[in-house]
Amino acid sequence: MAFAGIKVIQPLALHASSSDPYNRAAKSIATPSPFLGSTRTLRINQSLPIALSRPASSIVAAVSDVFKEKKLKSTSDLLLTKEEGLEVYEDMILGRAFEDMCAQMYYRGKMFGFVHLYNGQEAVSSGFIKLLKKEDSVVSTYRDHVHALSKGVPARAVMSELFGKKTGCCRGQGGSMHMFSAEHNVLGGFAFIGEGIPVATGAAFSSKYRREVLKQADCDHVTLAFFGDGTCNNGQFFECLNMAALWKLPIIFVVENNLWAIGMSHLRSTSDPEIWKKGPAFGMPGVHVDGMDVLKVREVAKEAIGRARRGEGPTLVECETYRFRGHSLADPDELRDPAEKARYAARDPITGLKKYLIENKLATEADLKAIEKKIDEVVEEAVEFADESPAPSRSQLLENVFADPRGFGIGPDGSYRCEDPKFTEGTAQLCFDVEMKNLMLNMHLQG
Amino acid sequence: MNHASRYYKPTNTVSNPPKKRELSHPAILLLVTFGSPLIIRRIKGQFIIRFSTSRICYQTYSLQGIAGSYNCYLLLSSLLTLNRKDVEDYKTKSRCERLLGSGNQNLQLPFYNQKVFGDYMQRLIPVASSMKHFSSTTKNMTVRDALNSALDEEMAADSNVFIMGEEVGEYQGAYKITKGLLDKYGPDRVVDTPITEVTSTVLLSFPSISYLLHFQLKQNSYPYIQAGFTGIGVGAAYHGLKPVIEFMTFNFSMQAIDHIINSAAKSNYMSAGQINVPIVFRGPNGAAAGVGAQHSQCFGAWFGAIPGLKVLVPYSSEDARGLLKAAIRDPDPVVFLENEILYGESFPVSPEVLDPNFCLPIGKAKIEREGKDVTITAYSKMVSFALKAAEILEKDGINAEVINLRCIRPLDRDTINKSVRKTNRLVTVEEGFRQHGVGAEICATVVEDSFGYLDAPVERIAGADVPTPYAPNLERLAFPQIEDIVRATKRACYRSA
Repeated sequence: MAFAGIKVIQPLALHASSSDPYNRAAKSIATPSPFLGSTRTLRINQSLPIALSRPASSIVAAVSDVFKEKKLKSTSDLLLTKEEGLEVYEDMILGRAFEDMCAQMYYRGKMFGFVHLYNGQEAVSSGFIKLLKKEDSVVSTYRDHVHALSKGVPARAVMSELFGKKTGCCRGQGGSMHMFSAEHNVLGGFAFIGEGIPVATGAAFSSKYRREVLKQADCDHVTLAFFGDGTCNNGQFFECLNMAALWKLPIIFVVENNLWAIGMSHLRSTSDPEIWKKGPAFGMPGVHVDGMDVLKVREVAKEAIGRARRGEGPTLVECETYRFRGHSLADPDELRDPAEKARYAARDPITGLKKYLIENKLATEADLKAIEKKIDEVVEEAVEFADESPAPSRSQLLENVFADPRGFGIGPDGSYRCEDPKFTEGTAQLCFDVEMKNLMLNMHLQG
Repeated sequence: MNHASRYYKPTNTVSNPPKKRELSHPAILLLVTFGSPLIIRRIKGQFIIRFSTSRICYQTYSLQGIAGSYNCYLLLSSLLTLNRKDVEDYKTKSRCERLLGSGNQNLQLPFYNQKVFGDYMQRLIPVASSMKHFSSTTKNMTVRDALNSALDEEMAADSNVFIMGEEVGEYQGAYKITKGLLDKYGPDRVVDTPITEVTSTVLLSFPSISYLLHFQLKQNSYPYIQAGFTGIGVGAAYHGLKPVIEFMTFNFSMQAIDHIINSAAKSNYMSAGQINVPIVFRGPNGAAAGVGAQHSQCFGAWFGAIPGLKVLVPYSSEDARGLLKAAIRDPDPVVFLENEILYGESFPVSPEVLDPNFCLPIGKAKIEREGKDVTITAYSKMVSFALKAAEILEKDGINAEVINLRCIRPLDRDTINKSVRKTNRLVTVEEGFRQHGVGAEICATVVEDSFGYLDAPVERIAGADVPTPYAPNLERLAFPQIEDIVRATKRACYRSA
């Protein structure tokens, strides 16, 4: 099912007409699969959905309430299978248990700096990321532990990173706000507002480039960009919406609207607080979904990811959610109204899913208990692993500043690469940190 | 005509201390909230006035035995009658008298008009804050309080000064530097912005826009400010607003660096002096603890490279107060680099520093510790490291002179060269990267001007040439430590470590 009531309209090139000599010329010059820079031809080659006579009157409609209305009508039409249900439940429990453990460890002085916890928002991470393939990419923010976990980075690697240990997913060099995993295509936690969005847009660009320019037909990889409500007032957000829609990039912009920056309410900072409306303004669907309900999130996610995979372009999804803790563990969280907190706490996404699974006989109380127990063990084990792991060695300080520390053209042994026959043959290894790669592999094998 | 000459009010400096005023009135330190009702209470001879309210704003004043003084009439009548001409009103006077005489009772009074109240508060607050300091017996002040009081006083003194940034208002500042200012000056002058570093920077960089803003504000929403207090000597010919932009950390300034450099720093030159930009960019800079590569770095050398910017790097509470006040009064864009770790540190301050007129000159370094054997230059947090290193070196018979740069641009070449000509040895310390760093510039100036005086190669201590790692052991290795300074200084003095 496509987004009900949503019309997606292709942007229209001004003055475009088939008899335009420029366009004919461009068409003949352009490669068979027009990529960027030849957008004019790209559009002309497509069937124009709108009559040329009314270029400016096109309205892109997006209906926000569609999913609210589409309430789970009958139990026979279940939204997910038993396996899927348990997988999502496990992921959400992992996210919650892991973050609670982080708080404990932070207060015990095991981790440092800013630690931003995800409690309350699990439905978004699990609802979206569990639908991805391993090759799909996720770009996150400073609140990135759970995105990494959902994407499959082992809990022990994330915990170890938070402890600043050598076995962490970035060998202790990244920290809480900077989770990376090349293997799982977690392209980073970015500490600054809006910074991750262009990176995600670039990842989506590379998928399209690989498919259309490098002719890797099977490259249908999708990128998810996660960010918050505060980011939607940042210029980078708008710039990327434009480019993503313009080039029909396979990306989903996932706004985790938890209603608050640090102490700045979304309503106080935003002229039009309905973020999903900004999608249609750029020619992509905008969807609003209850981010406290993983089933609704999952359904929207399925549709949006499918769209991106089919090459139909980006989607903006606003998930209205809530963080159960302060902005970071350093935030006293005094400005949010206790009544508001209680209202959202009553809509805990984990409780909601649990209820659904049991009511629809997809799982028994015992099944879920078993999952919770398993996750407790996983998290305990992660803490033990992290605690026992060695701190990074002194020499590590100066490693990894460059992929190729000597600079292009000079090999690790100081010899000139142009003198290496393999170099001219194109088979020489240019910049490769073998030790790092092996370490990552070992770690994940253990994990 | 050069605007700068009109804008710039020469400030009092250490060498030209302000006259101390004898206070005929006791201190006013008042506890008032906006809302209702008003409660006046007399406790141990002090009047405590407050509004019980659900809002989170509160200000503290206390009225000590000022019964009968005109100020008190003014204050109370502003609270009670909400109309200035009523001050002269006999009924009001007697009402005040009754009130002040009524001692132990708690009084509940209605309060409706915030704007009129604001008018009086605008007049009273600066008086109160200036007197507060003279009556204060505190000898220590944290850097946080120093910055807060400097902002407070400058805002009180000049209604063109306002602060804008993320979480500066209701949250009271991410590092609580703006604590209490929202309650005092209201949301029009303590402006919470969305997370949009770029736009807020450019908007405020241009006085032409500021003029418009100012005009609108005067006409519409700012009646009480415009009518208000004339401040600590900001001239009547003053036109532009003076924004203070808080970056939650200077790392976020990277999002807006185009406007700091291309808009703010260059406008005066490009317009041939027609448009100057009296703006302050401030926030914590440098290495913090455990926050990883993107949140932990020093931008001193970055901004120090740009003509058109003044770059201040306070270390102590005295620096923080004096330099921030100077920065706000300065007619040019100033980058004010604070340090998160220093915020909570206390430094002794003299009454002179606490004077609302206190200001430090921009472009002058301070010799924190006199010595004869070796010169150590440092700024911000590194000054404390250098001072501690100097103490350790003292035991080994090395008498180090420590220079607190205070200002990276303009750099006080005179003081540095004079010191090196005396000691003949130089060690530079900074948290930033070594290449093209502040230390590199200092070394260059010494080699240029005092080459013949050097008895040893200069030693440059800087951050490791890597992005800041997260792991604590690596993080410690990435920034200069006291031992590094001691070791390098011994090397410079040809002593074995």
